[in-house]
Amino acid sequence: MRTLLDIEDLVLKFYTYEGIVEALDEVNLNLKEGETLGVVGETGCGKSVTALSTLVLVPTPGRIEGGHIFFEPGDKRVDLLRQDESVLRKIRGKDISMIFQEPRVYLNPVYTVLDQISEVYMQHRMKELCKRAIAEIDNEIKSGKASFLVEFDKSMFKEMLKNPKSSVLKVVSKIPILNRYKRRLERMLRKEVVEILRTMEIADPERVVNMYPHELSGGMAQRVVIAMALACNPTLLIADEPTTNLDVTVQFQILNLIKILKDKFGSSILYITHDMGVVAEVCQRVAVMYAGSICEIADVMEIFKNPIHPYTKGLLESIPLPGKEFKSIDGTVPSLINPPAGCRFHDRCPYAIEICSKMKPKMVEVKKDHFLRCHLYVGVRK
Amino acid sequence: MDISSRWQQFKVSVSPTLKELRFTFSRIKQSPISVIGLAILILYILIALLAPVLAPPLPKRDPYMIPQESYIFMPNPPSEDHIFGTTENQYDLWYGCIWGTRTAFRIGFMVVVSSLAIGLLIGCVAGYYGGIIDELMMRFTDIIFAFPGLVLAMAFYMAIPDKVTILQFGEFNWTITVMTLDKVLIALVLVGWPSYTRVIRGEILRVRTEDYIEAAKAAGCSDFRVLVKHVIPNSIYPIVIMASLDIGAIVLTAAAMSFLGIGAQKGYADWGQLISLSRNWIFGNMNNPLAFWHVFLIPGIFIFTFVLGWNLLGDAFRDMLDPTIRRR
Repeated sequence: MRTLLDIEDLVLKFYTYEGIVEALDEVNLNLKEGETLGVVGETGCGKSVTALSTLVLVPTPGRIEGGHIFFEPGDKRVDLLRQDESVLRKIRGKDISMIFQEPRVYLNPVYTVLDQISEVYMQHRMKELCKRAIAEIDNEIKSGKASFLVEFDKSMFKEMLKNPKSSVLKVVSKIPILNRYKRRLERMLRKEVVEILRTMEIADPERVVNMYPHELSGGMAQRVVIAMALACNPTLLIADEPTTNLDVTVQFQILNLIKILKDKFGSSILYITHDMGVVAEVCQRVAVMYAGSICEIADVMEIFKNPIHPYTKGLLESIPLPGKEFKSIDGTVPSLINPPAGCRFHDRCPYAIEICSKMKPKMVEVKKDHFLRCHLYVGVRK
Repeated sequence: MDISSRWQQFKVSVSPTLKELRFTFSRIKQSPISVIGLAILILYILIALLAPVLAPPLPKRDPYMIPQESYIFMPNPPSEDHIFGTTENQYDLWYGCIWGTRTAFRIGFMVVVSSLAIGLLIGCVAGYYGGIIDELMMRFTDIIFAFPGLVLAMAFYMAIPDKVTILQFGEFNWTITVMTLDKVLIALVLVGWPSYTRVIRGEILRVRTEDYIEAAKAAGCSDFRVLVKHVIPNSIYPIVIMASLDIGAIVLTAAAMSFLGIGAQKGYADWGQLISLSRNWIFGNMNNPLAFWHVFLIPGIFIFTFVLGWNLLGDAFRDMLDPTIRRR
């Protein structure tokens, strides 16, 4: 399978008042086409920051210090970190889109669902809509139902297709009667939005499109956010803990929905979560992240059956199950302002050896498709 | 397509807008205070529109100039000819109050809209881009804030020349004469914009960090689009309410300036001037202290109710505009 996203040695630091936070330390990830990759880890280990840097939207005072993010949607391979803002803007929302953790705060409170979703269409799929509008008008002319003004509308759509920022359009769109071509566009957008909401299994989408975000329930809001993300058939969908704030039944529905939509739209998903159960449900491969670096990547079954990294083991043992003695990893997540030297996990690691505190381990492929970053295993293999 | 089906289509297309409009009115109706405010203002709008009917101007004369019966100094009480009586120098009070409504609207709207435009522009740039631009612009507004508003407005008034030469080209000379009332308007705008700038900047700083802005950026919106479509609509309510309150307050300030002798030329229909003409007559005489009550009370009531109307409507605007409140 072709690699779609390739993050290489990504280093990201936050320059805060307290000091330099080394949030990401040589993160390596790759995502193949049509695959769902889970990224798991504790809170504050850099999962969300990894997601945001994939869109090159690092919140200030963060700065990307090194590495590459290669993205290969078609046959062209681009390094996202070395692109112009205008190129990135075309990629964001169209090729790469994102679902956020808390759906309601990510919806603009002053716009209805219709406005919010149609904005994404207008940003990225205007040309397609124009072509369809022209085809629709041609049909009307053929069937003889068209009025004399339709020809003018058609020329407007053609103009829009040729040059969306043309000054003629700007003037005409302000003149009443002449700007009725906009109504056709609105009608088409509305149809489109209702359609995509229906695929999201929202009941009564005709009513929901006119609602404001605060009128939606949590599950509905999340569906709307997913609809926004999928509006342009993105090749890569980044889901940043989309089900964390939902109750379990809704969570199940959303997970199912994501699985179904993935097959339908053919997107690859980067699924960020801290819930191992969710990972088992939706992902094909898992990357385990700890304190700003990836410590283990493998297939889901492999991770659950043969975890190698001590942190992965600890993480799996700390899943609460009835009848099982509850165990957690000793110690706390280290401060990333002064991260421990060597392997960042060594001071909590029960199997730590001398070299762990001195040298950073390298990423090695221990089995086919099973990558690991630990001195221990390399040592044992020797 | 025949007319009736076309009409049906039109009805369907406008029905959501109509529904929202009806809902807006039902919201306003729920709070009696807003209804009173709205009623007062509708009354004033009617007065302003019907001014030529209510107080027919004399032919071949600037309708804003109050007709003057004679030059007798002492005001006359209400009579059949002059419903509200006459004020100092025999200016007709009824005429002055009716046409003064137009002046009040003009002062209020022009000053508030211009200050809002300047405030919005500077506040947006300062708040959204931040850094050194923000610092410079905010310190400049601080300088204007450091002066007492009325005094600064008077200084600006004095500094604005009567005649402005726009283009001088040999013999050709294009000069604009600045009316005294326009000078007042400009002075009030120059003093009024910083408060809008402050508020809008603060709001933008708040909204800028909201998550939906990040989401808009993640959907591929450009900086300008994010600012215009996402940041401004979320930060505009406070200043819209502020503006509606200010329309009243500005009329008061203009009246105060008029009272101090800085305002429209003498005889211009302006409530502030009518008040200032009554200055000598607030206290009548020893036997009858309220001998000239009509001279200050009638224009006073006009100003008072006008300002009150705008203040009451301020809340109604919020209920109408903010979607998170209106649907509750």
